[in-house]
Amino acid sequence: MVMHVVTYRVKDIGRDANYYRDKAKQLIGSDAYVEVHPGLVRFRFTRELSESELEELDDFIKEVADGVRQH
Amino acid sequence: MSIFDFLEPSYLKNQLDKLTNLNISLTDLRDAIIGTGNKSLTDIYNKLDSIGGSISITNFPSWFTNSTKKTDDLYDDLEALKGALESVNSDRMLIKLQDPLPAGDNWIGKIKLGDGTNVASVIAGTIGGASSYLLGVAPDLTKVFSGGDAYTEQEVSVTTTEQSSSFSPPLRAVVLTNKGDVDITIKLNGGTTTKTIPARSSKVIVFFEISSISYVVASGSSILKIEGYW
Repeated sequence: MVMHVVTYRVKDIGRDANYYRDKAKQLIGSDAYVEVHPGLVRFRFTRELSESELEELDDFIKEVADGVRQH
Repeated sequence: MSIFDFLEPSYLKNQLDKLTNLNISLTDLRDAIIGTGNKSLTDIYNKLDSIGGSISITNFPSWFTNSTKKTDDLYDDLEALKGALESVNSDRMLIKLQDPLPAGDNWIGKIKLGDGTNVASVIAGTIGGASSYLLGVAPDLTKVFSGGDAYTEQEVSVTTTEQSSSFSPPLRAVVLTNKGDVDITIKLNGGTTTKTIPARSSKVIVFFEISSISYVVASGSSILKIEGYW
């Protein structure tokens, strides 16, 4: 199974992986493996996200953690 | 007195002449000899003469005495069996072996788990100075244990301020490596029990679900490498 990884550099790390996973499910409609480290949030989706879905996730991470997606 | 004194020549000739009438074939006596069941030689002759190719053999299987079976039938059956055996060639046997196996890869020479993780595989290598094929085992036991496809590897800086990493869903197996020169103290899943990972590449392997790892050093700083498997 190929994982599609989306990584964000974040400033606010006050939330844990459960929080980001739940929000991603609400926004994208797909579950993900999520890990949160100091300064970093990483999602692993089992499918590739569309551009609009990525933008939606970008906006969410920017809002809650002041994060930027790594390319 | 000798014996010849009694053999008068004319008497002797008369007696020898009687021998010419002797029936040496004993044909007159043929049926005078009676055996078991009051059977004569004539009876034996007549019995043998009447057999005519129909002998009842009672000690053979019934198939041989079946009135409709012939040796040609036996030959035909043996030919059919020979043909059937020849038709079971190696290709057909392989097909028969493959039929019950599940679809997809069924490796011989290495074991494949459900997620495709290799437990062992045959690899080219050198042993005792000679090139050969070797059995390589379990490239990563933690991945084998977790059985998962999703793997993460992350290095985090560890300082005197306690920080943490979290995972959702929880990791099913974790390898923690202290890559620095300072001991790292960790706590798992928000608990209070601490575990020290000694400095300089010491490892801790955890085989239960991990949703969070907290880490701190007493002084200085270190690097903690987290390898986890969902």
